[in-house]
Amino acid sequence: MEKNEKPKAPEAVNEQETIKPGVPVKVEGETRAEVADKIKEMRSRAAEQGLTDKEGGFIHHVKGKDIDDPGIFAAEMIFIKK
Amino acid sequence: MGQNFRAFVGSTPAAVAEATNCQVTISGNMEDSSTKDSESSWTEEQMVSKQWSVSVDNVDSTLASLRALITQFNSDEKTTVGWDRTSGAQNRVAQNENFARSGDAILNDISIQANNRSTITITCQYQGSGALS
Repeated sequence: MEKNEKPKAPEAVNEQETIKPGVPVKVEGETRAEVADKIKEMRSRAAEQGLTDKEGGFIHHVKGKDIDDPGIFAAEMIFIKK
Repeated sequence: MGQNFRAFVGSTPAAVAEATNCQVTISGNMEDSSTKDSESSWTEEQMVSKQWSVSVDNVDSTLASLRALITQFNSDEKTTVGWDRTSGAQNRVAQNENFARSGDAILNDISIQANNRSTITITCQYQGSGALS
């Protein structure tokens, strides 16, 4: 008889985490547009928490591990209290 | 406004501090492909390769950044360089414009302008290595 396992609690998803002032936040995506959307979302959430961008938010390409890996796009942001 | 167009440099790219000017150059190297069969005297150009570079002037009265720049120059290592429109308190927040681009580049030129009774300006040029994305 199979052992009954408790269902796993859902992992904390990024969208539910609190943004900490002064701590770099990283967003990643497969395309520049996807990262841009995530940045907008992150800025909106930060504003709700009384935070604003200090610097960063520049989208750049991160190379893949090998020639077959197209890599990803990423951006890092730092938020501070308004 | 030119003030809001800034260069970003570094593995976690950040706007170059105390910058006063930046210049982006994207150019193609052309080659005349006309032959004796060509029916006119005009050249028939085709682009055989492309290149890009970013040059940044920044004020550095204490020369605090110079040592790190020379170390980077000597290393020949690539770093991420790009550009975007900016805003925010120190004008360092990227706005993710559709013209923003970045790529790997090598610091290939450092020049220091130190005139008497004037602030010191360091100019760095990054030559792109590979495509912009």
